Amino acid sequence: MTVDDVRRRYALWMLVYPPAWRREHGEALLGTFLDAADARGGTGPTGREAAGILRHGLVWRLRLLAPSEPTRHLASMLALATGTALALTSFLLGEWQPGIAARGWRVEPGHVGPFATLGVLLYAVWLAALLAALAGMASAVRRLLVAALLLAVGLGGTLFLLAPLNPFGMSVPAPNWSGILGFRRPPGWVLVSMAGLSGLALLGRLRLSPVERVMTLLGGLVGGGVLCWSVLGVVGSSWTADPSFTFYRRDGSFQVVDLVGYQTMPVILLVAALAWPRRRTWLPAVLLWTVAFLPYASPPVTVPRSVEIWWNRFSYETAYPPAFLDSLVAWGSVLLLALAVWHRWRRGRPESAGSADPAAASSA
Amino acid sequence: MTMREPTVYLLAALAEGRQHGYALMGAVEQLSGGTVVLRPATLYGALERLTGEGLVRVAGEEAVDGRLRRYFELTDDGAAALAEQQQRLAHAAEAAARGLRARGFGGRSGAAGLGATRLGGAWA
Repeated sequence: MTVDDVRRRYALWMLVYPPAWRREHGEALLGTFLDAADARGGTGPTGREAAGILRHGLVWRLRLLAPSEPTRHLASMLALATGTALALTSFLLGEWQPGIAARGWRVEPGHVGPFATLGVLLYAVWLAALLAALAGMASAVRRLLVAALLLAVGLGGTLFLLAPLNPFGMSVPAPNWSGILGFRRPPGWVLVSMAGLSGLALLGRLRLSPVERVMTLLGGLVGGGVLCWSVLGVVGSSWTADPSFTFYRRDGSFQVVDLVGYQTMPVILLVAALAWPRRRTWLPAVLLWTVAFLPYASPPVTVPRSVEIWWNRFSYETAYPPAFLDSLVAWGSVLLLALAVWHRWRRGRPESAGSADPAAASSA
Repeated sequence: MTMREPTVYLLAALAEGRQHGYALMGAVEQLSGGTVVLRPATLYGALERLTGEGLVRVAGEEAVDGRLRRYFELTDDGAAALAEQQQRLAHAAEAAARGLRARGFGGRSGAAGLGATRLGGAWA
């Protein structure tokens, strides 16, 4: 066993560390390992040394994956604006019973005063969090977002915990319309979205600059406006004849209910995590683009569907205006993500192999 | 700020002067009476963290027998943090000694009266 063999063994194990870390610290750590091996007459890593390398190397790799503070801040703002859009839309179209009745939609029994469900509490807490953010009260925003998260999870949990007490459990076909002791709650897709957005918003420092406050408010209002317009447009063109329509019904809201749901959450996360974490000048565009077009920014669903639309040469069902926007923005999302990944990959690309790498070690 | 035991021993070892990785491992083991044994990967993880916190800094490198030795030393902030820990532990040791005396254990007083204060002696 030569010295080079011992060196090569350690260097192989150190591949667990990220290349950038090895370039900066690899040689020094390798030297320490070799000193320790010499002292005990060892020919390679002991079990404990190997375990240490694995643990610390993987921790470093995970640290590289974790979003930076600016990225978390951006994601937090996007989530705050997105949650505002969803809360406003849900309140106006799903909760306010006089408005629902005026549009000729079905008014469900079990409402909470003039509001359709207990979800009004969730939206009120969320909007209070937004106001606190606009007022620069970061600690209050954090507490309110935690409250919103607990409310969303708590209301969702009633489906399982209080199902035996739910008077609507047997009579209402959609299971996510269960309620608490006679009151209804919003459906799961709203609660999951709001819970996810609360968690995402809590990742940031929640202390917004004046410009960020304006952008967050604008993003929420524009997003809410687009959502309302989308739902009303879809209903107006296709669902007016359906007297059973309610905003909270997944099939009734057509594809618009995909808005800030399961598909868009990863998009928000990915865009925020990968794209321009340090280029604040892009912030207004990213914020407005992402929030305003959330109803359509669901590539996992809309990319295949847009292919289908083009393949079928615009059938009657698919040739409504949002479908074109849907297709456009979905493909834009894919392009944006591809660019962001490419940019990130180029930035993190190793410029040269460190001498702690096995290749260099073997040639030493 | 409360530090973990290995960190305290690491800073205590560096308080005696700049040292490279392998020497630090030995110094920590010796100072702790063999109760704290740092492996190289753990040592470098801790040194990187302490460097990031401004308590430790790199104090040069040299190649010995084809191996890179990187030296580390305590910063002024690191010395202040170590002094704070020393006072905290000495206070805790004093309180423990008083309690034990009240129960009739041991006749020695202060930090020197407890085995755990080996650290205090090392820092002195």
